[in-house]
Amino acid sequence: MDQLLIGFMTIMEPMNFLAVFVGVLGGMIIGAMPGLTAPMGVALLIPFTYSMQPVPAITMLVSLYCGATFGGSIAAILVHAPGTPAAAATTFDGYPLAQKGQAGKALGMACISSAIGGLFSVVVLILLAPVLAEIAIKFGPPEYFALAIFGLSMISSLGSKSVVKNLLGGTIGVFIACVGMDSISGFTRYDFGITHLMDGISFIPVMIGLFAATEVFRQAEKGIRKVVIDRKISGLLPSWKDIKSVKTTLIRSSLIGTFIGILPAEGGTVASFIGYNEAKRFSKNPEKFGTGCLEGVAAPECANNAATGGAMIPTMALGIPGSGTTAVILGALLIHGMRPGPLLFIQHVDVVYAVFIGMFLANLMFLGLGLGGAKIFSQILRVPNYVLSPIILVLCVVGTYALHNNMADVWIMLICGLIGYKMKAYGFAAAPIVLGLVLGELIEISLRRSLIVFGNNALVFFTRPWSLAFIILTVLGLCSPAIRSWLEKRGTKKKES
Amino acid sequence: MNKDLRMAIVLMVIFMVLYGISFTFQSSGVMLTHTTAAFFPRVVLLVAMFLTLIMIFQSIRNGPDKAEEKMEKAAFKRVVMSMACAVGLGIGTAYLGTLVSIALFIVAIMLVWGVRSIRAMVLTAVLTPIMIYLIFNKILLVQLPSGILI
Repeated sequence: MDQLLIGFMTIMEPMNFLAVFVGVLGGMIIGAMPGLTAPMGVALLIPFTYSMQPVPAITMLVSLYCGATFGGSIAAILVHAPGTPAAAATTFDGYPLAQKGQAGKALGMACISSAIGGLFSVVVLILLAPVLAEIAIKFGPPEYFALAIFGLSMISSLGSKSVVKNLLGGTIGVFIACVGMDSISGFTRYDFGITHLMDGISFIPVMIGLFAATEVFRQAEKGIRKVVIDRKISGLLPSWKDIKSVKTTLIRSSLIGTFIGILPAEGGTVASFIGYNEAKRFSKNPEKFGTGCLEGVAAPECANNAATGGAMIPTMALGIPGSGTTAVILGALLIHGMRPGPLLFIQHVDVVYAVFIGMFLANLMFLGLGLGGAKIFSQILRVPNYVLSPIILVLCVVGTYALHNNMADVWIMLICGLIGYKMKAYGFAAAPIVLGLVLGELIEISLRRSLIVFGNNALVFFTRPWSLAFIILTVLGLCSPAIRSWLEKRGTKKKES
Repeated sequence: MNKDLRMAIVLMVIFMVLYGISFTFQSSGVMLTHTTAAFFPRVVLLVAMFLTLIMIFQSIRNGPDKAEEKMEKAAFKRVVMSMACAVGLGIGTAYLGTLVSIALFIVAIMLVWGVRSIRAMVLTAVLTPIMIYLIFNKILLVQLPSGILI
């Protein structure tokens, strides 16, 4: 409780409060623009935080995460194009509502549901993360290895549709983490005589390249695009009756979103679709879904914002990212000299609780900004992509350079942007590569330490309870897409018969 | 040939080459296998090769692409030229100076994209370097590369 109070006082300092405001505002702007995603926004914002203190820096990033997750619904409702992938399910009922002339009501419901989901998940984060960290403090290298492998196995359901491509992307990410000096033997690997590569490849240029530069090249492929908004936005506040009618949906979606968020690598996109499907399944009027019902907006929006707090739980307590965006946030924590994991709750407890309270405040802030300024945010959609994309690429170059004042990072970023574009064309997603890159070092160190400490005995991973549990979960995680498709096929056959 | 198969073959070759390179890593004679610098990259590359093999089998099983989506010639040109502009921005930043390069890059990429509005071009090309200068140089105190110009 004391820590929460200290966290509250810290966040109320003008600089930190401003950081939350800027983060939420930036997040809503980025989220509102189709094509700009939360991980991209966080990756682009990191360079602006280099010179900041850890509290405002990390709080600004997590606030952007919350703001962008809500912001995605603005474009989803008004122009039928989700601002972020997590808002894809919002288009199903949000856009039909806008077509019926109830765009304001839909935006208001999206805002309120997002805030409720987000606030619920932050409360769970505050309660659960320290407990998880306390358990994890007893973990040794075998447990960490098994946990990181579990986190990596969960990427099979991230981004791209192909499980093999996702896993391959994750493996490529782990391989990139191998470049540079080996921390155990001290010999260099894959540096090809380039001095810069001896220190390894930093996360940030790779993240900025894969998330932001790649998107610019994709926009170039699409060509000039202008968004036309022909909907009038009025009456943003849904009535008390409307809110009461979705009460159960909000509770269900908050629970679903938070739980999905906690699962390593599962993010808001999965949460919103499950939230939507479950709302439809339990609804008294499932036939109304897809035609423009408020429940269809509340369910995915509540779930995807609930996933933000959920995703922060494994990120902060275990050092295993809960989503693509938290993988980038994890990189930012490292940049600011903090290694996420149980020790974070001992060494930087002040920062941890300030970030938690900052996240809570961010959810309240976008509620106010969303209800008060939805009309203004909708105007952002009018900015043409030919103005936005060059500016993003400029920010990529300047931001990457600012990391170490080094042009080599800029070249790495550009190469990653080009590779990311090509890989996307072949169905590979960026998030698994980033997740692999972030987890790569942890996997290597914990594997090799386990083998050294336990006399080269690989059985150690199967004889320790936590480690065995994570390995079983890994196997289940890897088999889950196959089980899911088998169940779907079985369901379809049953329906047909 | 299937698009995925093409990609898988390219990846397999890259992984094999990288695996071969791992034999050139230095190691002290007394080291156990798992303590050498090559141990972990080899494990990762073996996993990657195994997954690529699955990808190859999957793409062979799926057969040739039914109708491969071909990018329009104009779109392809735009992407390649945008990439060239990005590389140009990198080179320009190092040798010409950040702010001048940014302005030139914005004009170039907008022309490549087919923007005809001179007003939009000039405004973006002037305001972006100013914004970058104020934020990075003045607020964040980052010394941007100045090159021979600014």
